[in-house]
Amino acid sequence: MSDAARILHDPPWPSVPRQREAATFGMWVFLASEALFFGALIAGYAVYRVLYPHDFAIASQQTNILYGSINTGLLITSSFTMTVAVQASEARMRRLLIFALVLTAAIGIAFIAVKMLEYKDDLDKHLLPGAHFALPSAATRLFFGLYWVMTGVHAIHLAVGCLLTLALAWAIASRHEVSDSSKVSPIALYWHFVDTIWIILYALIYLPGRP
Amino acid sequence: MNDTARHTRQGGPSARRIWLRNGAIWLALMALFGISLGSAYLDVGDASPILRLGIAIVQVVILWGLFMDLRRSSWLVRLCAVTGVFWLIFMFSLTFGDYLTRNWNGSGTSLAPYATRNGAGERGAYPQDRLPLAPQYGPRE
Repeated sequence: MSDAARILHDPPWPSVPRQREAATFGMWVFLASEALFFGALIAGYAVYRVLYPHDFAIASQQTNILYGSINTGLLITSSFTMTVAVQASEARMRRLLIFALVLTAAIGIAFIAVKMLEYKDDLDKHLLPGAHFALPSAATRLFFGLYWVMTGVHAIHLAVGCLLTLALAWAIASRHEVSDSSKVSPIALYWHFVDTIWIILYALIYLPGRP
Repeated sequence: MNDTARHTRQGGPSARRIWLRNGAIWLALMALFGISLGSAYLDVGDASPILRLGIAIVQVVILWGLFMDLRRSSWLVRLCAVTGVFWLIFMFSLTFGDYLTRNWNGSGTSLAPYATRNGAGERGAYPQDRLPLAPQYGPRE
């Protein structure tokens, strides 16, 4: 199907602009709820850090700042390429759009690969709270409990983002979706939000307690 | 004719312009990331958590404003984003309003009258009769 023959809008929307506005608004409503979901975890982290500042600094030193920093650079770069995808979509530059979407998903997959290396390093250092946990203080278990939950849930979100981005790229490449599809912007918003969460987590988890 | 040539002829942005414009924002975000990482190894005293979180918030504002395009969004969408932030502020205010002002949990805060600055590690310095929720760790009878 060529762009000229595309369906103008899906029911129940009376027009394409209304459909776009609804898709963007719906995604922001979802992201606001996601902000509260991650916000509750971060609030828990903040409370325990206030209660046990010394233990949290010791625990934070055990995280692998190299992997964390590589991943931060990767995610910021992926937000850049995702924005290129959105603007290519608005300009109906189909090839640039597909390239930017695939590049974004590839960077996301690289993030997950680095994250797996980091998790392996953490497991080798016995940083999973449990019987053989490496650090003596009880509060350091709180830190690493929150670390595994927050970074794990974040990685799941990113994996979903990679799947959505690749599915969209495939749909556009196979002409099941038009290049200025109203699905591009909501998926991009989701991607940027996942990046936002990581930027906050990076400052909270990896940087404290360094010399 | 490829996409770029066709679109540029129609007066839209070229692919090169899209890369360059967003590349400048990417550079700014990466510079802030570098400052944040560097601050972890510099002795900036008690201000370091505020500095790092401040940099993170500036990065988020750039992301939301420019990459998530809130600056061009409708008021409905902006209202939705701001509402999420406001609920976060409520949650953090109420949570810390509790934890920073009560002393029942042995918190090492400047506001709790019996607090120690070293956190719960010095809970022994704390009047036990002021701990209505003090846990019992001994064997069950």
